[in-house]
Amino acid sequence: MQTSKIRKLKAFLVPFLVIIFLCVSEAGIGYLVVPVNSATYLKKEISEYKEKGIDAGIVFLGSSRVYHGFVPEIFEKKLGMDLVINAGSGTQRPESSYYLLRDLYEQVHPRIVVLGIQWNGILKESTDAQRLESAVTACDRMSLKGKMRYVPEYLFSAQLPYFCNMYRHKENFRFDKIKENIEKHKKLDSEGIVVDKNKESYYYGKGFIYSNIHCEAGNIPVMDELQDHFSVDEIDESKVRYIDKIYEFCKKNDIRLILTATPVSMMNMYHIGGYEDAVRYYEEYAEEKGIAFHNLNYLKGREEFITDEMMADYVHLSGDTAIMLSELYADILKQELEGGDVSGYFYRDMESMKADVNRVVALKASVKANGYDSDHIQISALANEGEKILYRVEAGTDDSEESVILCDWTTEKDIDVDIPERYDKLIVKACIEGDESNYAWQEYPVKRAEAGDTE
Amino acid sequence: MSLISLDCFKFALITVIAYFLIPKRFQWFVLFIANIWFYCSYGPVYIVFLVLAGAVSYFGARILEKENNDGAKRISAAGDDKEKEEARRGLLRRKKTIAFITIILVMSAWIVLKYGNFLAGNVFALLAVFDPAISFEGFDWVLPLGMSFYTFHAIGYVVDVYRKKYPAEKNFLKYFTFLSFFPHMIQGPFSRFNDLSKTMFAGNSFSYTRLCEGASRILWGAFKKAVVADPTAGTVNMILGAYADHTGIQIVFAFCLYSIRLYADFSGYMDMVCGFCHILGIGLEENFRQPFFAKTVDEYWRRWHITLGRWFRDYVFYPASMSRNGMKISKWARNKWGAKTGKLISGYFAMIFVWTATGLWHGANWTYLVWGYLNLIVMCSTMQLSDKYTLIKEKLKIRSDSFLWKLFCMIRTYILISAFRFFSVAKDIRSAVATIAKVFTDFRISMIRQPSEFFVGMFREEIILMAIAAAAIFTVDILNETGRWAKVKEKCPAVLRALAYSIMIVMIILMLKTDDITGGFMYANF
Amino acid sequence: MEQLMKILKDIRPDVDFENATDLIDSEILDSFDIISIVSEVNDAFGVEINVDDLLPENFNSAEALYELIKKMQAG
Repeated sequence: MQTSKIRKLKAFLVPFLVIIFLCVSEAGIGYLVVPVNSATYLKKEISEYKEKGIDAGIVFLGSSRVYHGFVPEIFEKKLGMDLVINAGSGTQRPESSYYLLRDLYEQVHPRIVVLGIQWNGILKESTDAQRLESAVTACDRMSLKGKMRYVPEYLFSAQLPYFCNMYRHKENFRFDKIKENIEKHKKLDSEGIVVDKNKESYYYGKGFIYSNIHCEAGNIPVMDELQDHFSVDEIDESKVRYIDKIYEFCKKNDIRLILTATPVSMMNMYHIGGYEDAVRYYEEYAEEKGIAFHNLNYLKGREEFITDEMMADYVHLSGDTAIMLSELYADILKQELEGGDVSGYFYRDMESMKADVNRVVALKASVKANGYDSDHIQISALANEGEKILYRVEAGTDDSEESVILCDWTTEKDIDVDIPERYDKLIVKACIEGDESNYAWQEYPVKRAEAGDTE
Repeated sequence: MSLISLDCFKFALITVIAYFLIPKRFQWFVLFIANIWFYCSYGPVYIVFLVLAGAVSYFGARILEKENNDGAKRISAAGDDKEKEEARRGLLRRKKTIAFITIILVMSAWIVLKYGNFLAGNVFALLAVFDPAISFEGFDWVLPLGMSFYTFHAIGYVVDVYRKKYPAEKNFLKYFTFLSFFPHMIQGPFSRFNDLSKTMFAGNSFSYTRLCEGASRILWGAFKKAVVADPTAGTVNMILGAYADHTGIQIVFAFCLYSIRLYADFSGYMDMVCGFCHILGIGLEENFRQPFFAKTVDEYWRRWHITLGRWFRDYVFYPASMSRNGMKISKWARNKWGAKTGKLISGYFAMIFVWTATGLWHGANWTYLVWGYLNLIVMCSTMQLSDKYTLIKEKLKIRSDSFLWKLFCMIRTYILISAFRFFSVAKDIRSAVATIAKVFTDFRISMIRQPSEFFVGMFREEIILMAIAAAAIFTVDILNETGRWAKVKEKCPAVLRALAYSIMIVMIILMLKTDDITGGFMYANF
Repeated sequence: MEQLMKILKDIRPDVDFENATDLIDSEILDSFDIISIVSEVNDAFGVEINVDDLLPENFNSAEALYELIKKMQAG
């Protein structure tokens, strides 16, 4: 009887050993192919603080807008905290924020969670890719335990293999990349986190990533109102459920939850269809839950101190802008935490912003083709409506500085222009009458209708 | 669905679980459902053809069996020898008619859909000689999934019943389960109804041993496919698809690599399919027996796609050679040239049918015919000249059983088989000839100094992993050929086995070519 | 039986027909051999072995083949 039991166990020996070997391979090969990057640095810092028994005052969660937006050291100093962590990660959606929070809670027990939300963060995704990217970039910042807690969400999904580092990073299974990675590991172990500050963006510390890039105004990608539009019908309820879960988790563990929207470029914000509906949705949500919601897009005066040139791209802040914003937001948070009323820092809505500005701070134009070489343009401007606003349309080419005025300064908002063949972009400008040198401008591609096309 | 994918794994897992949960009497019905689900996942419309083929062959077989039984009764009831002879002849006539009609009906859909474009194209090309204005655009037809396989399964079944090898299946659903059996639907192996039904309808109990054996065979097949076949596919296609842009030496290399890639792909698929069936307790025929160890092209075809060769042997070669005319030719040849050559001549006659059919079965193109005949010519000339070869070997004092001679034969076979593919791979005769010409006119042996130009599109690390895998497959094949593999496997300690499986799994993970849903993450490096 | 042995040995002198019982199963005889054997046997014994009779059990040994011939001669 004994031998048959042993034989039975022996039958399972091989599969058991295979599982062991695979775990070892995943760890070993993972070491070689998982790139040493911000996520690695953040995890290292967190584990060091965990070891020292230092808890976090604040944890920031959210997408890359968050990790480019808030500088932990500034919050630590201004709020008198030992530790603030910026746990933003690429494309992070509420589901991943939830699991990341649970993992971070076990390690550094934050007292405050600032959840970065965005107008499109709860809309239905068109592809699985974003959900997956959200999951894996968040997992990069989690401990193994946290990751294992997240994996069951994907158990029956075709994307499960991406949780395996060998699979996800198999493109890095190259001798030169492996060598580079091993050297980075060695450097990290011996010298600690040392980054090249001359790169476009670099790891600054505690999860914040400093961007050296600055945008050029006028070239910022702007949305076509028909494509990028917030509507309550497009909300993915499962995402909202995860914000609920975050709320419940915070309530259960006595954590203060604050919703925050990081500032995007003025031009982009003005182009988003239904933007104010999105803001209203979050305001109502926050009110229902009894938590604060700070929309940093509506910071008073932001049209002056967070201009488009101060952004790295249409949704991410440059490093120096983030420092400046963190200084301001730390003050706001301090007041909020002490029970004060911070509404004075913000515009109530876009109407109040318009009333407060003394120039055109953003414009949006819809361009429709009117035949092959003629377009119809409808312009609106984000400016004080008490002022007379002038519009101008020029045409230009992508590969030269050449431009020609198609329609000079006019109060007309609906403009028809003829565009000669060789121009491929329209430059739409708007300004306050009398202040023509202080215009806002944005480029749009020329639209040409082929014969037989109908709009 | 791709064979190495989560979808396929889920489907297989559900099938296996359902199969062993259902009482044994109804297990085959799980397969019936799985077959239909599988077939419909590729396009439900086409199942119509499968059902029709099944219905026609089912009824044809049952009618034949009835004839067999009635005919036997009539023969034994017949009075004298003359009546008996008449009854026999009548039976034969009727049987032949029924079988003929059944087979024609089953084959017609396949011939039209697979060869319609080819035949029509050739007819129009001929007509265009007389009137250049005539042109042919081609029918927009798609060959339904597995039609080349199930058509042949149906024909084989009908002929077997005709030959009274086994009784016709009375249960149409059971027969249809055999015909639509998803593991052998896409690439075979060809099975005989009586062989497969033994294990398919028997009711199998779950066996952990079979699970482990099947799983390790599936892993081995996946290993071959993912680490050797799929990564080299790109290289081979790139070079052979654009022969004008590559040098002769690259093209030759690509054909050599193609042989390896095709072997890994096809035999890997067989391993996965056989391993899966083994878990269910169903036995499929082996389709490969270390083909690169073949010493002649003839032997190669008894080691490569074995079941296809057997099908053509049983249903084309023997009927052709043992038909009345076949026997006449055989007799005439033996009378004219003696027993030895005589037997060969009648064999050649039958082989022409076999290789015309084999060539065209692989594809509706003149190139496949040429490919088939190249095989035929080499095989026939080898057999015909075997005496002369023996003489030459004796003169050169080469021993047939010397290792070097055997190695030479194997390499020679490999080169021939790879060379024949100049035709099977090309899209038309002109490209095939142009590719061959390129080899001779622009060989450029100096390219050897640029090894990276041979493995176009593969990274160094991928080449190394692929080479290790190829070496492993080769080693296992050597052990199989020398009959030592079973013992090695038995004696291998569990730790080593587990290590081997783990290494295979890791290599598959590292090499798996998937349609990446992300195409690279935006934030991969942050 | 001797006549049969002669025919068989003529076609494949290298095969041990006296003792072998796996001529088909072990692929000792190939398809060319089969058709030659059938052709010769049909002539010599006046029978009509055809495709339907090409079963392993009829050809695996010389004895089996002899049984088949006798059966066919009996009618």
